[in-house]
Amino acid sequence: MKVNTLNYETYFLLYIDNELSEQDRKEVELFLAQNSKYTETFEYLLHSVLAKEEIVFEHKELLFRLDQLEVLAPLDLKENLLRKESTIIEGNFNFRPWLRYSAIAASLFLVLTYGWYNANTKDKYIINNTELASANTKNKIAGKKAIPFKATIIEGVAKIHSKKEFNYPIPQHNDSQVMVESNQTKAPERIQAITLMEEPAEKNIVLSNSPAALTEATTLNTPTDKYNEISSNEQERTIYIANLEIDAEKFRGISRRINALLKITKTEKEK
Amino acid sequence: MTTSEFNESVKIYADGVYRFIVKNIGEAEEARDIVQTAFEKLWIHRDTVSPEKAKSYLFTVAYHQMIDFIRKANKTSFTEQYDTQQGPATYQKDTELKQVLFSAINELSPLQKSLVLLKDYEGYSYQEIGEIMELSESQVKVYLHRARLVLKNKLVHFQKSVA
Repeated sequence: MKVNTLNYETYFLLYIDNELSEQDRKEVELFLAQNSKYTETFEYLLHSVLAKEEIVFEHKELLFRLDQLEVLAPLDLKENLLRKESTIIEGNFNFRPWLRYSAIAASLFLVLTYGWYNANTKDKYIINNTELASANTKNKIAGKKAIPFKATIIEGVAKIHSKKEFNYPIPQHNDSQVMVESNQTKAPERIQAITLMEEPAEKNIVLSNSPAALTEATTLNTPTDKYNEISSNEQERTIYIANLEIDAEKFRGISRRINALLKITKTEKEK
Repeated sequence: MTTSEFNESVKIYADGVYRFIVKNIGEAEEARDIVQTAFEKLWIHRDTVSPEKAKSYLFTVAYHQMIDFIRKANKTSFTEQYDTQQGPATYQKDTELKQVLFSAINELSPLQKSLVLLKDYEGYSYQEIGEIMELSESQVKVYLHRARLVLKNKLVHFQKSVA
């Protein structure tokens, strides 16, 4: 007999570890039957074995590979996945109104900011393009160093000069061009707005300008044109986008709120 | 290993690997990560791992991941789940014994604890455990027997203190 009082513990351990052959297991059982005083030791060793527990790894579907999932997955799993997918899509859909509002707000902000910027920069001459289109197209504008007016605006001014009467006398030139020069070495002073003043009998353009921005302006075909300098205090409060007049203070308030809203949204997203 | 065989391995072995890890470290979330990592590695090396070796491969990867985690976290805990289906008297006695046993297991070294878990929960042979833990068969036998005797002595000590 292999099992004896010297090696019984090793055999007991091998027995509970299921490392013995069937014949050796029977020998251990026989030894225990013949030596009951070792039964207690054997039972304690049996108690040291952990009982099996059922612990389930959930979401095994996360481990499956997608190329076989459609083949292997039972119908209820597919339905479950579709349901989860629908939930995710629905969640995104519910979130989208925020995105839409943000996009609308951002677009509105950009448009208004662009208008505000144009209205407050040094070339903030607001000219009604409709009237420009109807103006005479014969005159042209050229300059040594053209002031940063948009060509269409300058051209519009020139065209209007050709037809309209100004309160401010403009020096005449012999050539057929309107020349506008700017002293660009100096820091640009705030350029005041030009607004088109319509008068049925006398078509006037009212020019409000600073000497630093416009040092010289000439027209050929408007010997009797006059410019009228007006106060810009009221106009500084007004922003023109095409034909739309917007109160600058209100606009700034709105833009600040939009900015704050966008910052809050961004901060929440980051969190 | 084909994709189909890989998915079959997920079905068969995911629970066992997860149980082995979560019983060792006691943290379900970390255990899930380790299981996912093990299957990810199996997928990457599916061309070199045969389906018959998949279980051993998974436990080996999971075991090494777990050792890394234990070294970083420097902690282990053995969780338990009581079977409340038993009668009150038996449940009380078994509960106390289990508590002593789990306490004793927590006092084992990570190596010994893994040996016991792989043997008792997964039923691996000494040779298979040796492959997973990179030990010789005789080393597994010696370390595991030492661990068993420690557990047995704890139980004996508890019974004597109760009596």
